[in-house]
Amino acid sequence: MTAEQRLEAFLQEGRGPEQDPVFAAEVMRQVARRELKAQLAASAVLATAAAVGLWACAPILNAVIEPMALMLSPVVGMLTLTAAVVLISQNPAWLRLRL
Amino acid sequence: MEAPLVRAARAGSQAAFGRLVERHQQGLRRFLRRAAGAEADDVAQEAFVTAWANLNRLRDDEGFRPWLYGIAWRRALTLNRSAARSARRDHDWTQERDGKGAGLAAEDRMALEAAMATLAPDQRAAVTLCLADGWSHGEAADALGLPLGTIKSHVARGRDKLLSVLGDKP
Repeated sequence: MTAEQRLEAFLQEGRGPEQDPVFAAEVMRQVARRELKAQLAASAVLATAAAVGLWACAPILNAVIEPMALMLSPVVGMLTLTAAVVLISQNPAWLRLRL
Repeated sequence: MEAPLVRAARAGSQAAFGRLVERHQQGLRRFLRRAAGAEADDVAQEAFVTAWANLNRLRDDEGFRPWLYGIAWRRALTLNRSAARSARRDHDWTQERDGKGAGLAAEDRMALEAAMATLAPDQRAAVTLCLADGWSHGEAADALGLPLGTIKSHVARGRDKLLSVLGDKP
């Protein structure tokens, strides 16, 4: 072999498999994790902004909601009681006790 | 050819980006192993993740490959971390490569590896891209952030140096 051919052979060494699922999966796992972190950060910012907004609007909201709450409290109370009865009656542990 | 995949990935498609990873992972890791040495796989992974996060900065969608290699190369030059996991993979790769390199005598390989190690990092990278991977000088210049003339000079001188250790005149 000439020097040129030997150099060429050396440079062409190390061509591993074109596909490496393990490496690609690791990269995509890191990409997914990064995306999740970005989404969580965005959600946190949104939640903080919403909380600040609600806090700023609290006096107005209180003025609107308090009369409504007094008016609706009997209805909401009955609905809550009904929902609680339905949920408890469908609980498997409760059904076993009845048997 | 890659522009549609790049555009889809930029729009948020992880599947499209996965195709780009599959397409370039082997070449990038090989380039880093030759040009930057150890920890090539970790650097390659970080380069892919950085590329994903910065796809909106890529101006030419067809230029994904030199852009990606440029990210990886800059990271390889600045990062100096210990990673046993990567070292183990690199060791496996070296063993696999040595097993496959039946056409080259062991002393030639050792001489060429020693000669490669003596090249300056930029020169080694230029030689790897242009001589081993068949890149154009222009593409290598884009990836490495070097002037075209410098790349041509690096490749020519690097090649001469490698040939000189084989005993024949270049």
